[in-house]
Amino acid sequence: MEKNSPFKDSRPPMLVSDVVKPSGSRHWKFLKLLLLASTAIGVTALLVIMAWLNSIGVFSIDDGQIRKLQEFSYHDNSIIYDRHGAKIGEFFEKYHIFVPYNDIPQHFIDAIVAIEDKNFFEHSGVDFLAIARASLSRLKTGRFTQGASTITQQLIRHQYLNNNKTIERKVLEIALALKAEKHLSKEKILELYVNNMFLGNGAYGLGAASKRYFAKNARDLTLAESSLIAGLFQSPSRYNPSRYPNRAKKRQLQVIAAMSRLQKISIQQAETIKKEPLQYKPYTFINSLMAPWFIDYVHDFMSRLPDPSLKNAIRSGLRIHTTIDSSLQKIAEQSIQSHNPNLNDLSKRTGKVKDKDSGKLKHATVEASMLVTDPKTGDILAMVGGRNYKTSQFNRTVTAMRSPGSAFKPFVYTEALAKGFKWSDVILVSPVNIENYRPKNMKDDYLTETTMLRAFYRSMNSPTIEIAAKLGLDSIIDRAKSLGIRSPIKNEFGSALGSSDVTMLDLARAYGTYAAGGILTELSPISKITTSDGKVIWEAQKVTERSKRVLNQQLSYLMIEGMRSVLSLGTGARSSDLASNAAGKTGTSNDSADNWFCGFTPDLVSIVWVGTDEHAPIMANISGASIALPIWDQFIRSSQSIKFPRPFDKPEGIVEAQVHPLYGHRIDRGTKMYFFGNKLPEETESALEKIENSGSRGYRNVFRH
Amino acid sequence: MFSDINRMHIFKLKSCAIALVLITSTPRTGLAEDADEKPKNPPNSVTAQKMSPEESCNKLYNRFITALQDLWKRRALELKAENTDGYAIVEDFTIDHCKESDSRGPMISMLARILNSHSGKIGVILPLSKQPHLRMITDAFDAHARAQGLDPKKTFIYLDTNEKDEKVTQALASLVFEHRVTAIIGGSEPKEAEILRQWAPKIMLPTFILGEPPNSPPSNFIYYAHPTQKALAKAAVDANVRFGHKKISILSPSDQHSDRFVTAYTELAKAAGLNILHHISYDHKRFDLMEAAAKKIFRLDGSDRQDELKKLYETAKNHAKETNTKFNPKMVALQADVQQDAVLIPDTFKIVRHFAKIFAFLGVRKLPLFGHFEWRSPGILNPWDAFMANSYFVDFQGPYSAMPDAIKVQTGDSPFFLPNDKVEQADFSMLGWRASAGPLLLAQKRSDQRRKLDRQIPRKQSQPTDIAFDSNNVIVWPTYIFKISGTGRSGNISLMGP
Repeated sequence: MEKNSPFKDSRPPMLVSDVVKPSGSRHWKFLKLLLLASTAIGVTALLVIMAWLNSIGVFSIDDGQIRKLQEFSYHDNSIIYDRHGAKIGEFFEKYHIFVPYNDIPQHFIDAIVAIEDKNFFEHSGVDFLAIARASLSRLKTGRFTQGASTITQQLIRHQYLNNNKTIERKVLEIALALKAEKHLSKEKILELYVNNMFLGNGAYGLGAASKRYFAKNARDLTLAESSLIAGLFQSPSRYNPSRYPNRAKKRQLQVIAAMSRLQKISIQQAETIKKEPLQYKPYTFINSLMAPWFIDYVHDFMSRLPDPSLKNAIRSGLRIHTTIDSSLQKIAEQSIQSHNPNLNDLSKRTGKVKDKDSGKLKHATVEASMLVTDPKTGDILAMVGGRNYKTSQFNRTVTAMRSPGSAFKPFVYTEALAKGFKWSDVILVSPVNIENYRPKNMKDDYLTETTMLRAFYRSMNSPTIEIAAKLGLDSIIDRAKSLGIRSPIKNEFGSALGSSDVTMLDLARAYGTYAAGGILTELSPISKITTSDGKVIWEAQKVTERSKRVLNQQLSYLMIEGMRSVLSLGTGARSSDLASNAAGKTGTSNDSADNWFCGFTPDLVSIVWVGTDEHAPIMANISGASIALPIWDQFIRSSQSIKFPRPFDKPEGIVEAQVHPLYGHRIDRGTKMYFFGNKLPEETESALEKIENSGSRGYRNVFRH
Repeated sequence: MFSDINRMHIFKLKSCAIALVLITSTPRTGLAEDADEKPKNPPNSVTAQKMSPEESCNKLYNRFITALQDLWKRRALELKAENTDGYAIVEDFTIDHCKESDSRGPMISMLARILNSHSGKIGVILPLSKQPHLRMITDAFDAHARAQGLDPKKTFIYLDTNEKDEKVTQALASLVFEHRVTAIIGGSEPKEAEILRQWAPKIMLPTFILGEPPNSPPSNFIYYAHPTQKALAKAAVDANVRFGHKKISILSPSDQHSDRFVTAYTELAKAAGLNILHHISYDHKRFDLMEAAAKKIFRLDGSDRQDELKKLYETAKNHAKETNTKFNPKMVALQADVQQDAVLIPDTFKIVRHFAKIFAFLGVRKLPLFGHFEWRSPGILNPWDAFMANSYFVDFQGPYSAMPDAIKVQTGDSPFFLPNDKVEQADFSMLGWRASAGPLLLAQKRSDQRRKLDRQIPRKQSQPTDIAFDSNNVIVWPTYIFKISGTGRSGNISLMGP
């Protein structure tokens, strides 16, 4: 080497500048300048690069950031239980089940490494060779065709960065990856990666994906299953087996091929999997299985709780013990679903509304909902917010404000009985005009007389308005509020016939008051909330604390008997055999837009609504009695295996009498009516009956000779 | 029959002298004149005296004997001649008996006995078996008799017609020939009344009909003990005048049950200068027709107010637009045009109450209604409807508390109302009481000749409860006006006077 040097003998060792110095001084100067300029440019460029790197945060990466990555805490899902402790749903920000590295099956590790980063265990966070390969490909094709990100880089990107394909992000990603590799073991990095990545169907990480796709724990995965999940890391939506089974299978085979190339599996194993059909469990989110509208309501309920720590139920890892009764919930859903043919048929006879998507007119869809509560505890036992949660998540039991129609009438009659009216009081049924309000009766039964009870159980409008006019609107509104109606009630006589919109919660509360013998109990969907280790952090108020007596027992019982008559003799008579242990009231708003049956037993309140979300008329001559009552009927009958039927308790101070249903006097074979102890009706024949019985002779005919 | 004739001959001898007196001296011809509907000549008149005994006898024969013979023929088979105290002989007389004084005398004598003498008993001919409610009337007869110190069983003879015409005549024959009654009460059914009306003058038997008088000339022997619709209509007109109600609309039921009253009212109202604006009938079994009738009297039937309605419609529509509220065409309605001072509704309180509601529904705020006895019930007040305030009705019954003690029915809280099962009893009792007053009076005049008992009938009424008959022999039955008032949740009635 030294022998061949051209400068060895003639000159002493020179500086670099000497080497580039031209033979002449001019040359030397030029070279010197050039060198200086180059140096300046290089330094400047270096400074610029340094400044750029600084600006994108490469130099501000500190150990803390990496520690944070390591200390990443997983949000535990909040689990929702029914009243018997069965899981019915979950709240989570990311559906996640943590799997420690040691629980990750080896074949999964092999699979993920093979398909995502075959040099994972060799490189120091960045696979420069892969980057060079990818860059070359980029130069050739003008686009990114090959991935060069290591598992570490992907983790860094997922945790800290975005997916923008920019130089800045890439440089930062590399810097962070290098830094992470310095601080974390390969196993830790892989554990973080496997547990954090989104894998479709709402699942984050291997544990959640194992549950979602195979309903098993990660450690129990087979090779084929591991390879399927490993394939999802690149694009969970593209390879979702539920949506794209062919793609998913293809991807699975890519994983298997990669494993085979790395000799992680035998050719025979690979061939076996290749021949196997794709196997996975179709995913149905648990929340949509049992009581989806209820779970939404629970979430909403929790967000309104005063304790701030409970507001974020999603991330809290809570155990939410609800009041729902899964058996009754199933019965409630079945009760509605079994009427689907009828509801579908009605949907062809509704008023037309504009379709949101096409803008064309179409018949409004008939919906149905049911709310079931325990009158004594206020527990919500079942909640069916509509006919199909997949097509409509709108919760009609909670959110919908609808006209109750005649289902409001019990509040009018309660006030009447409280003010001294009796069920036997006689009303002449003629049209009524109060402040230009002229309600019509459902059937043209004018020119007749009726007792107040008969007017009630036949749901006659004009007698009700007449009574309302005598009572005054204010007292009726106050009465309705005291019974549990929270929605605002319009100060107009139409409200007495149910023209003011209410929610099903309102009606469940109010009818529950009757069922509970006059005690109003606030409804609750949750009994308690605990931490994952069982510590109670919120509990519903005790029943005694959220209950108050708003009607005396006797008055409540008179109304129960009135509503039993609805079933035995009135608009609900198609379910008359239930009347011995149940009571209720039908309701129908104008044009049958809302159809109700609000019924109860001593142990259950069940409110059923049928109508359209658009308030469209249903032009099929239907009513609460013809469409809502059958649903209620089915529910009550089916629920009797769970809530054994029993009669209502009759309090002291109530007397019963057989009364003429039209004329209000006592007769041997009349309608059974109930009264406060000292308010029995007259025993003698009424003058109206005298007229009726006098027939052709006429009343006081002796003077008409 | 032979034995009857023998017995008759013995009787002839005994009564020969009396018969001669009847024909030749004392009121010789009184029988003949009294046989007319109204005596054209006073007894013992010149005309009568001009007749020869034979002529007079012929006349008596033709007027009475033939009638009595006819009645005897129509008797029930059970009625035997031996039970008639010789009256049955009447069937043996012929016109030839008038030719000879020997035969004429017994005949006239027998006739005189039949027409003059009476047992002080009152015959009652009613369809008792078919119409059990008539027992309430006969109970009142008995009560009235007892109240006068008489034994009802000895005073009244009740015979059932079973609603058969022939039974009426059979009963009459029995009462005349067998019981020789002082007077008859009957005719609760129009056909039966007609039969009794035909017989009464022929046999000179005071007969009290339990019905209204027909449009036929009055008779001395026929009295009408039933209150009349005309009297009631008169009371209604008096009430109109009293309350200053001059313009009247009438809504009457189409089943004609109030036609007599309405006809009488209309005549009397016009005579009193009242203005009848409408008279519309309705079917009280059909709400739509009742509503239509009501609309008619308030000019709401749309026939002549189309322009007004259109204007109202437009105004309401514009108002809704201006106030950004929903226009409800159902809220647009014509205002009732109330031109009348009061509306007559002669129907039951039930129908009246429904009409009141219909009126209110049509937007009529206040309007007095008036009617008659069919309104009298607590049902006119309960449940109270303020629309009924200032309405009134007329009735034949005053306060129930003022009924005669013997038939008084226990009242409740109000002296004006009775428990419903007692109303009919009170009405029938009052009818029975008043209808029996005349006959009982006559029954106690046994010394008076039966054919002249009409002179004992009282003609002047000094108190509402007194019995009197007018010049047409129709009972003067007192009437009462009741006014309705109320406050808050209850109403009441008050007696405005007879």
